Amino acid sequence: MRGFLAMLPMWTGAIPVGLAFGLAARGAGIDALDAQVMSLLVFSAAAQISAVSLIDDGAPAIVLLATTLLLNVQLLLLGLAAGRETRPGWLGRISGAFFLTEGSFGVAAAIGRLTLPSLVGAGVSMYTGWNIGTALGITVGDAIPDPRSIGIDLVAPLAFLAVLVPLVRNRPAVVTVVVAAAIVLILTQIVPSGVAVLGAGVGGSLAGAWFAGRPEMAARR
Amino acid sequence: MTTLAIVLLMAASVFAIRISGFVAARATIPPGWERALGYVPIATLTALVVASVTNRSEQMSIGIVAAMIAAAISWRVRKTWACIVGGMLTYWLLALAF
Repeated sequence: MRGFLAMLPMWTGAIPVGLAFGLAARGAGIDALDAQVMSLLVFSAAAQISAVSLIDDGAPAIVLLATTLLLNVQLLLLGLAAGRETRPGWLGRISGAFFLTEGSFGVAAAIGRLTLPSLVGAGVSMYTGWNIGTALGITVGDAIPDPRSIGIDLVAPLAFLAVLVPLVRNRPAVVTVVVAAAIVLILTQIVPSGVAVLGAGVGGSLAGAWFAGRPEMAARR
Repeated sequence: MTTLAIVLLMAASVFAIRISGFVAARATIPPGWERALGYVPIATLTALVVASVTNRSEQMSIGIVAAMIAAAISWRVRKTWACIVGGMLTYWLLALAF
């Protein structure tokens, strides 16, 4: 319950992004029911908004799933940390895992020692905001007669930017951004854009990790 | 493949990542790997932004300018809604002007 209450301010973050997702999904011609089911079952802003862009581009399912995995790879690390701290049983693992997001993990960890109830509480709260936002976005999207003519397809990359910019906190992150942008610009000339995104995701993160691992950067840590 | 089938596969993949951390809680990951994993979302998000902004058939240059303004807003304000609203307003103003 404390997690749920502590998470209330984050609704202001979850609702607009959920709204952006719902809007983008309808703009790309995705069925309203499919969009809402996606928010109910997938519960990952980055994965869902990327799926909208990729479905719109006609990318194959395998490219879409690979992007989903890449975008959420940090959940593996959060799950490891949460699992170590809370040591839950099977039911706890399943509920803790389903509602695990970066935001809810951060809030639950900030209100004291990380416990399973606070983690799940924060997650459920964010989940509620995310789904309310999605429903609002779908409703607004349906009210706009020709979403593409007013540039609604720009909402998806703007939502990504809102998630991305706060992550760029140090020089290795800047290197990652520059290399990933360069790779994707080159690759989109040669291969479909979904494949280009995957290549840039792998290439950019390797460049960032290499830069962070150089002796002079390691000495600063 | 129907959209619903894709949604179900996505849900399964994201849940698999979420649960594998909890299940493998006793495992240790080499620090180099852990560091590399931290940059994967940054690289992938960047690639998605660049690919989708440069891939628009209409008003591409206006879209690029709007995205840059939105990034600057996000840098200063750190509010999701401000980034999206600021970017869209810039886009609409520029589209009206040109």
